[in-house]
Amino acid sequence: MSLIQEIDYGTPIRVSEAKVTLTIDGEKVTVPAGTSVMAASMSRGVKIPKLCASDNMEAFGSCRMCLVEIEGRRGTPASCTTPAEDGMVVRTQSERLAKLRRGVMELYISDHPLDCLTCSANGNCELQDTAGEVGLREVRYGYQGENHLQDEKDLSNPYFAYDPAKCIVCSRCVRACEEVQGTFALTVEGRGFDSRIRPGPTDFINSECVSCGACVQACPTATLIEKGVVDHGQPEHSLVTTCAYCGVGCSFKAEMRGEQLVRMVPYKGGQANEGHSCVKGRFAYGYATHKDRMTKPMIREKITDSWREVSWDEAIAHAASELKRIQTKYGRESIGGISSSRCTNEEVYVLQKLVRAVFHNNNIDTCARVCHSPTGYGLSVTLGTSAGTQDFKSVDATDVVLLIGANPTDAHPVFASRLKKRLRAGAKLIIADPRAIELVRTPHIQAAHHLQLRPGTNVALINSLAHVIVTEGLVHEDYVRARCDIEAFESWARFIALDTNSPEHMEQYTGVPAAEVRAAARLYAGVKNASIYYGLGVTEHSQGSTTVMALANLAMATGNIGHDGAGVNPLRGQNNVQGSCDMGSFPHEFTGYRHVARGDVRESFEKHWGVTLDEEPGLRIPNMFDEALSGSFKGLIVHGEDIAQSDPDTNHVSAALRAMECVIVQDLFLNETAKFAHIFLPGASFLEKDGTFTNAERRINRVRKVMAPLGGKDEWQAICDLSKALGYEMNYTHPSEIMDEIAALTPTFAGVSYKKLDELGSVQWPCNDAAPEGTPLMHVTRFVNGSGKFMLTEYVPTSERSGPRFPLILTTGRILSQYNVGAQTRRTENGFWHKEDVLEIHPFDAEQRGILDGDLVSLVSRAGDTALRARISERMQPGVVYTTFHYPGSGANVVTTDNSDWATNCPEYKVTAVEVRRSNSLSSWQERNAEEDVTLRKILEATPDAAE
Amino acid sequence: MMNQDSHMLDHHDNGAKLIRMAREIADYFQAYPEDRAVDGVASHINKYWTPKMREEFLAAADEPGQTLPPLLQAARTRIKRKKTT
Repeated sequence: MSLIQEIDYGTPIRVSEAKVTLTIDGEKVTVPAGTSVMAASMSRGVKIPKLCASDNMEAFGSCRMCLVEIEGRRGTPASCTTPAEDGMVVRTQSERLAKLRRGVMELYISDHPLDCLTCSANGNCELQDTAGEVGLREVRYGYQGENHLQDEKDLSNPYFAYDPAKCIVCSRCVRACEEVQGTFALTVEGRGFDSRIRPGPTDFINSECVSCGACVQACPTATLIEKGVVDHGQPEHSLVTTCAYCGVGCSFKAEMRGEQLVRMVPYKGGQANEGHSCVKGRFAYGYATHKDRMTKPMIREKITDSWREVSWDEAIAHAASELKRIQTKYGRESIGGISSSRCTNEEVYVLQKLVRAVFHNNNIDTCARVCHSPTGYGLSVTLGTSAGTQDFKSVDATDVVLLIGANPTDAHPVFASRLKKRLRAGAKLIIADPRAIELVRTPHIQAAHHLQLRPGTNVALINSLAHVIVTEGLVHEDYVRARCDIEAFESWARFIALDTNSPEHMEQYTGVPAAEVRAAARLYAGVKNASIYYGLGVTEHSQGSTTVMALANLAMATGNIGHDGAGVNPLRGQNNVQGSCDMGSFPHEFTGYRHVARGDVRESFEKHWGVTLDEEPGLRIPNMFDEALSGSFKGLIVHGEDIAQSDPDTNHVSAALRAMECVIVQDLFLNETAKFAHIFLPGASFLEKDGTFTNAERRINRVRKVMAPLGGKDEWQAICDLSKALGYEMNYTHPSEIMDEIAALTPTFAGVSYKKLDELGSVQWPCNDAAPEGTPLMHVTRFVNGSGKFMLTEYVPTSERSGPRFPLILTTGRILSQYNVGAQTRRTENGFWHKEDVLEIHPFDAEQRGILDGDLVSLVSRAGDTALRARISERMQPGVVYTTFHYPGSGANVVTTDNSDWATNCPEYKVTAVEVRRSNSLSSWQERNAEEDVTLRKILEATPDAAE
Repeated sequence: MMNQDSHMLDHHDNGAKLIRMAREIADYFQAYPEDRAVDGVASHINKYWTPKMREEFLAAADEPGQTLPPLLQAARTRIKRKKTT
């Protein structure tokens, strides 16, 4: 195994049907029109020396290393800024060019430390390589002149170092920050010899830098370099794998020294991220080897007992025995499982198989229940399938983006960078969000409309947008007539045209001025390519599914499904939300979204699995809790999910867990849920896994094992072992065999195999005979169910309303540096940016309550109360407060209620009526939780024979 | 403030919650013509609720003093009963 080296063409690869043919060093080369001479040369495998050029940013022409000679032209033009032309004759090497390049290189090296042997970039330094390429043998100017060798290092960022003494001011970092990331945190300060790269008037950590790593990746020297490389040395081998954070599903090269992960480098060949990254995927992987990792199976009789380390065999045998005992005593339906969107498709598949084939019920649900289950429902009934319609690349062709209930710069940063690039190029942005998220106004971007609606009024807002489209004649009638169910459309059009759906009527609910809504609707409907992107601000409401349907209606009415630049695109929260849903881990459906009541589908699984399967739906997660509290649900296996922290109404969840007789947790850490568990099975991090994740664009990406599981067992294997102990053999030797079974049983995955994924890099389902290389765009010529179906979407206000006792509305979300319940990111240096969850409150509401920034405040709802620090912020509108749920001790979900989406029971995290008061103490829940952090997590000293 | 003990539901509480969930489903389908709406409510419950939940809902709906909205009332007869083995 060796280090994967990607080709750098020096300038972006152009796509054009027009081709030009030129001659470079006597060889004819044909390239798309617009390609630079530099890239044209690289396309034939010959590199022209370069320092300031890289193919992920536009040519800059500053370093003067890539000079070439072109017949018929004067001078020596830079090959990076010179477009290739038909008939052009180029020479890349000559005496004159060699002399020029050496002369320039001498100047660079005269102000560069000569410490190559001790430099952390030694062996992987473009300056070093280029000096070799140009044959530098001496520096005539000497090294004693004025220089920058004493410039002070900036080590403030936890993940990378900045050593200005090594900087050649090629500006690649500045341009990467602007063009690739879109943050504009870096600049060149000073002129001429005084030019230096600066993160504004401060150090890196206090600058606007978001630590995406684009500048580090762009740097051709050791000026900006990962501290991992400084600490461990240059990597010697690498594998391409997929990030385990958000639903963008970025591909990374995991660069290793032996079993030591040196760094994660975004992979240019990754079709979701095309070489970009964010602070989480790029740097926040330290949790994988954190001291809190649990690596031994453990059991205990009662949750108040200390954990006892045991062998895998004993843990599996005990788990099987307990599950059998419970089913014997309480019945077949008394046990179930919860799968995780953080696990691979293959792991999710075998867990749902365990429940359906071995537990003999359908009590399997996934954590997508609490995030995107309304997406599954809403898109299925309207468009015919439970997935987004586009690939990420599609946004490059959009003219208008409607972004609702999503904050991509924090939650989906790599997609946000792509979106920002398109917006800087002129696309318009409509934002519907109660908060002033970053994209409302950020460098070189200003939303055309910020529809700052009140939480809980999404349907009212979308209906009023649709009302304008229908009543002002903006419907794309030809499209609707050709592609959609006309009867359903006409029924919808009559409904949506009612005055009660007008922006003027809905303004009383949404708080958004009607004129602004009308203008936004005209903008959305007035272009060829309008797209919708949305997140949990859409789904986590009592009308989450209705909003998803309303968005699909809007897109169909304007003809915005089935082509580039358009579509309805859910931004999935976790890495494998799409996959966990695809893999049959909802209690009512098998893989590929086929209901358990369908005899033909059930029969195919029964035949393959050799068992009889239940035709009735099983319990959803909230139903499991209710049934546990009523005494009929007694055993649960929780795979890679922390329901005691992530699910709403924590008191309810923990009471349900306490009521069960056997809770089995498989996880990396002794998480909040494990406090209520009886059996703990150590999980494996994504670095320790082979498998696949499916991202928000239905892209199936490979996850590749770069180190052995610290717990000594693959997660899928542990589930198979449990299955065997329960009397049902699952004999896979590798996850690829699990995928083969998925493909054999799932029409939309029929063409998927590890071989194909290795060949193509990734595929987007459906992947079958009709689409052997996958389907980047859905519904291109027809909707998968024949015709698009408009659904009626009446606005029904949530029952969770503010009033005298609870006058404010709490809404929750996440931030850039932390991820979900924080189990991973809290165990990395990312904690530097977000050390605790805080309550953001508008100055008006704070002043009324005498609250100052930083005060401890109590946050009370009808479900519970907690205490956290206040942060005065005008990002919120008056009457609305906001917090995150990254730290268990902050108890954000103690306050959220059991309200949920009518169709899917996805919790209404985004609307909780609360009161906020100054406080001088933690809540009783927090005090009890802190105590239980100790009492319910005790581990007995390991006995010598415990571990295998 | 609620404590953990107050979360111990009995069957009656489960029934009340199921009634609430069913009402929310009916709220959605209210926009449709009656027959479509009745069918929509019943189909949704049949498709996504376990037989035990359906039975508990029907039992709770039968309790004295329980008043269901007309749409939900009409949908009751179309809700699948648990198979007896």
